[in-house]
Amino acid sequence: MRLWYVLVKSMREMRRDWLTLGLTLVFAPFFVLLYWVFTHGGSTTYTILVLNQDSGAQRASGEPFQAGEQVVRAIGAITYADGKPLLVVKRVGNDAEMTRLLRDRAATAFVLIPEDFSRTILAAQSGDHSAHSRVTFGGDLTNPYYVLGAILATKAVDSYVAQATGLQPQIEYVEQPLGASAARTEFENYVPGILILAVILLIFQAAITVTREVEAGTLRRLQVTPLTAFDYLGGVTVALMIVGVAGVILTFATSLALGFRSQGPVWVAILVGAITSLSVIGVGLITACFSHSVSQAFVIANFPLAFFMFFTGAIFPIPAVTLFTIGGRPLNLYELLPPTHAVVALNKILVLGAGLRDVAYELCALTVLSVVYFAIGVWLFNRMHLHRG
Amino acid sequence: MTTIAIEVQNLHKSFGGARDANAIHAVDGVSFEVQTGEIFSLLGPNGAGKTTTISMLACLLHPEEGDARVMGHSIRREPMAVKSVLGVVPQDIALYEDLTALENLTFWGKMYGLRGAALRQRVDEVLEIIGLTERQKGRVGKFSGGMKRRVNIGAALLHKPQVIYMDEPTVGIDPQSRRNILDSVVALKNQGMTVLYTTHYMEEAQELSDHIAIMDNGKIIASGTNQELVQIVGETDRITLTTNIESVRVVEDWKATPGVKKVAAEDGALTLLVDDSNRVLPRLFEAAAGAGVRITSVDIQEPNLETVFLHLTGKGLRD
Repeated sequence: MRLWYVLVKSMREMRRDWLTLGLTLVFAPFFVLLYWVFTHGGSTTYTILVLNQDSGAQRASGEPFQAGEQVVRAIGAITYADGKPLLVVKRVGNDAEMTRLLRDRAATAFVLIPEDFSRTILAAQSGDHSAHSRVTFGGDLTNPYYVLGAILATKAVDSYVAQATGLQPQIEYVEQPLGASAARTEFENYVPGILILAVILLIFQAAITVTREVEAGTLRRLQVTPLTAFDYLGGVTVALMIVGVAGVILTFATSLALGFRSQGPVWVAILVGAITSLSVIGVGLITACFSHSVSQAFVIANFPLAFFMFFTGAIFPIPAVTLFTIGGRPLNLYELLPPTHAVVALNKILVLGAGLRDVAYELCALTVLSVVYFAIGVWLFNRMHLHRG
Repeated sequence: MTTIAIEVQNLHKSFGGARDANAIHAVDGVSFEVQTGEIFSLLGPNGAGKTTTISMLACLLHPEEGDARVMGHSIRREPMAVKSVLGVVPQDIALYEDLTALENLTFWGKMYGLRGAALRQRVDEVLEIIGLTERQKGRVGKFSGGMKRRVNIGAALLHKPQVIYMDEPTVGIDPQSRRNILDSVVALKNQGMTVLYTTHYMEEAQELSDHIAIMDNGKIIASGTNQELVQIVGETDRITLTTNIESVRVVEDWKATPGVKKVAAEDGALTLLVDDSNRVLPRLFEAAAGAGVRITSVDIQEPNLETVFLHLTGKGLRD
């Protein structure tokens, strides 16, 4: 029963500290909104620079033939599955302008169409396969979007040449998307990571909630009541989990309102968020063990936050460092961080339409890690703050 | 017939490791007894070991040696039983500032197991005792220091404890709030509660206490009633002098003056314990004139707890 009273008291305190609670709840939905704006309401477009030096040719009938122009139109015609444009063509007049725009990252790749392009296509159409022309692609290879832009533009040129010359390649590549991934917009791809962000941010609230008790001396006062450590930590944890799940639901609702489509059951995604929040609260308790003031807790909490954000794949993909292999399955370093499994599970559920059974491994791993982190947090907190000195 | 409410036997507590040569012995073999229904004060300067003693008696710190029984329950073996008969008013205000006075008291009442109508009735009673019925819906964070102190005390009274520990409850508050708190301590005693009170204010200990234990450097250096303690110094008078300049030479001369027992600097003045102020005072003026020092004020007092402390330790309570 005392657990319930601690829960109610914690909820009341959080409600009155509306700034901290508000930031915890609003931050992730705000991120969703920002990504939606950045991706132009759904899907990003990639700018391809085209330097068309094609001088054109004349058909036997006397009709002019501009193959370079037709390629440019083919590049611009590539769209997402929902018909929204994928590549945006920007024409440039010379090499210098092209280089400047690429350096400024105003474009992802360039295509240089040579002067003899139309003549080569015409020759191929008339059966002369000895003619040769070179279309050049390029760009800043450190730009993460370069590969995507260059591959898509290459595909457009290849398709045009095959269609214009009638020369079908001997090997045909067929793309087979996993689940509903072909129909996903870029905005939708970011949502699983941002949902995890809503939970990760709970680390501040968790660390602050318990450190505030230490700083105010109320924790010490609670120790002279018959309240047990289980009741206290249980009440605080449930209150924080409610905030965590509320954050996930709010983020999810914002995403849906902005056009996000979930392929799998939403309740499983919320379950993933709830279990993840337990591990984050555990880390929050660990943080509180080393903090004697709220400001100190706030600073220290940034360290685990950075690990959770940058080394779990929640925000950026990271390379695998295998620690050991269990039953043929490699266990990577980043898999020791619970949000890693949460990101994979949410991606499977929301993008690929997976159900509870399909994410069983991730849920098990997440649960085990959450229990371990929470247990460490409780043990340390008990030892550092609740134990009789 | 009186019974013993608190029985403390040879308590020890050090910080920095019990076997460490550099360890600070905060409490060093403290023993005393508190009778049921009395106000017992631990009087001593800051750092004397009062709070550490109270923390051990509240089962917040584990004693390295010794034991204590609170209403018959051992602090070592029955901490939960001790907590159930105990109310603790901590030295620092320990309340939820975002909650109202009513919400704070209700929460602390629930922590002590009160429920429903009994809880509501007791909260109302406590609000009445601390004089905050009218302000019960105000947030504690917006209260004055004195009002916070009153809620701080109220939170310890909800479960009608048999024994209450009050750790320097009047530190840093205005005279009116102090008066209010001292009156409420006496009221608690009149309701039958046993009060263990710590303070470094001699006047408070003198006014409130049935028995007083004087602590210094982790030890109890004297204990008894106010009258018994004052008798330790016998007919000694206490003279407080201020001078126009600080002079080491005059202090040495005064120490050597016949009839002077002790000289200590305190709060910018010099305090002397003397056998007979009428005979000694002219000699002090002579010595000061010889050293080129002018005495600017003289205050002669009958022996009190301050005199006792000075007599026993050679320093003032506020040093």
